[in-house]
Amino acid sequence: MIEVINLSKEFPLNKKQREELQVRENSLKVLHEVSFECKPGRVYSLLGPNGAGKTTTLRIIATILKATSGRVNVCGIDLNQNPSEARAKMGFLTGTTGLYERLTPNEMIRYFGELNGLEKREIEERKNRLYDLLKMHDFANKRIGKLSTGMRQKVSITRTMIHDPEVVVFDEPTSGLDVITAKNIIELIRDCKDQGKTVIFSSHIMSEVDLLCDDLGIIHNGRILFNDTMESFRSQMQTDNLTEEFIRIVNESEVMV
Amino acid sequence: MLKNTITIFKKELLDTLRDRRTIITMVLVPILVFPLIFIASTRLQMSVMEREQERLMTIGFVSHDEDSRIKEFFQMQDRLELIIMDDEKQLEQLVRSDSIVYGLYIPAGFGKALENMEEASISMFFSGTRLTGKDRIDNLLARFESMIISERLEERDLNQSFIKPFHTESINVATGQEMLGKLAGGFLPYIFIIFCFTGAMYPAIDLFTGEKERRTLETLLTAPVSRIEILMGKMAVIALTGLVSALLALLGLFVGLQISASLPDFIMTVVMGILTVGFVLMLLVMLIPLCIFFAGLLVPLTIYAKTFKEAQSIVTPLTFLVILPAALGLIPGVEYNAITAIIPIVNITLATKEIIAGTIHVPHYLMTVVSLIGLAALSVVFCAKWFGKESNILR
Repeated sequence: MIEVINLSKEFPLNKKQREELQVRENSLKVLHEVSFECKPGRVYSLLGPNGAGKTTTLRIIATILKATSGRVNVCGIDLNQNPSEARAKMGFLTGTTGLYERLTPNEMIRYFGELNGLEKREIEERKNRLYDLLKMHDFANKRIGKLSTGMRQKVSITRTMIHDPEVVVFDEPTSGLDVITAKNIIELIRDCKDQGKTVIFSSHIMSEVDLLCDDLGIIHNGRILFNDTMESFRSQMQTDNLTEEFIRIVNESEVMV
Repeated sequence: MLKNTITIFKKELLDTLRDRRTIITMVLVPILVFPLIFIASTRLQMSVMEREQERLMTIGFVSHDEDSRIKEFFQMQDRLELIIMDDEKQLEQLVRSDSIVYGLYIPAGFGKALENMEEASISMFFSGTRLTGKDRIDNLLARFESMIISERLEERDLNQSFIKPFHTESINVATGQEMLGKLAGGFLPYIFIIFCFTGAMYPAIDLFTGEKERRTLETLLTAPVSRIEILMGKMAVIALTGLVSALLALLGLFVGLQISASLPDFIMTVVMGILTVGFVLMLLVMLIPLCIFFAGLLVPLTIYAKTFKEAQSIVTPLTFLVILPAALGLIPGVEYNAITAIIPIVNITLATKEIIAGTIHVPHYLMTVVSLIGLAALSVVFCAKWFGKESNILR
């Protein structure tokens, strides 16, 4: 379970950044009182155009960034109070996740298993189960730097899932991936949902959202424009298809601003 | 907390040891540089000496004097060829145009002046840009001069003490160890301070800027470990690589000295005598906090830099900041006292000189160690604050 309550985020701006953005303020507010809830066994999708605030929101949930105001609870743990404990319950994956090129998948998975407080035996068991599932045994001892994009993504998935997290955060997980690799991610999201995990993923592709999500949040310019179930979104549609409806909502908010 | 720090330390060490650049700067360069320099310089020196010994030296010779003794003296010498000429102007011209390297001109009346006990003169033409072999001609002229003196003394039945009334015996009260420590001892810390820094440089860039650039830092930050644990694990690896690099440079230096044949035996005995457990321990006590301080100096900059290139351009000039105080300790007259004992880096150069010479003042040494530990602690605190700022990490 993830509860996001009145989340705001401001980034301080230096002189050069102020000139580039042509603003006078000393900070830039990128999230405005964002609130939503992701429930266990359901997939929540945060949909928005580039620069809408999706990644910032997910980075705050993953505790990489700190919120300026507002609160996030993960599995009932307040991130401001105990970020480490909350991180132990989370898995975080992005389409551009970096891997340690000079390590092998085995070494990298063991490393993250140990950081997540798992015992050696536990790490081996879970690792082997995930290797079976993703067919990774053949390249488990090769240096990551020598692996293909698809193999690397499988390593990322195993790294994310090694501690069997209750909550999984995917930030544009299929971005930049080929169709076959992207399919692995989509299957992973479905598996997580089937296992009763709380899943949140960000995307700017409506078709991907349509395929996977149960609950939808549309975000634009740091503000939540829609927050309800996918069914509700479909029933309220004023256009012929989902993509056009998404564009209509975004454009309408621009006009209002 | 310690468990996670150790896990991070182990992983970072493995990752670092697999980085070719780090291995080159941390292991290969420090261990090979001195043996290679010594081997190359010894070989060069020996081959220059051999060539010099075998070389046939050609000198121009003009004499306007009837006395032929000096001419015969030079003609008798091995590997020396005299080109007899008539005109001293021509001789000067040939030396000026590099056609011959040296020229000797004996003016008229040279023999007569010798005979009459007057001061005779000889002119030697040479180019100040080419001095190889000049010593040989100077020595030959000196030998000719002492031959004349001996003849004169013999004629008058006098012995050598007539012209050399007393002999000065110089008694050096400093031991070989003291001399080596005070005169050359500053060179040693200068080496390990530089290697300490350069050895830590690449791992620091790789472990912070590299992680940012490769987008692995983000992944690490989502693991249930605190930033201070991440920082400690990484800093320990950076400090360790600096320490290993410095120790390997020292090892390379001693190996280089041993394989080099150019040093006199007594110096080698003193050098090898320095390598005691006490010396290594006293050095390590200073080196460990120094390495942590260097890591503390490098980490904020490498956290700040966005790319490997940017980090390199920020960090490389810092090497001069490290070299400068290290070189200050080499200046004669800069003494190890209560003030210099607490000036970072300068104190290490001076303390090492004193340790090698065996004249270390223990209270000053303790002041150095305490000040270095304090500095290391301060740099760690600063790094922790710097690493805690998201604007620095995700710049």
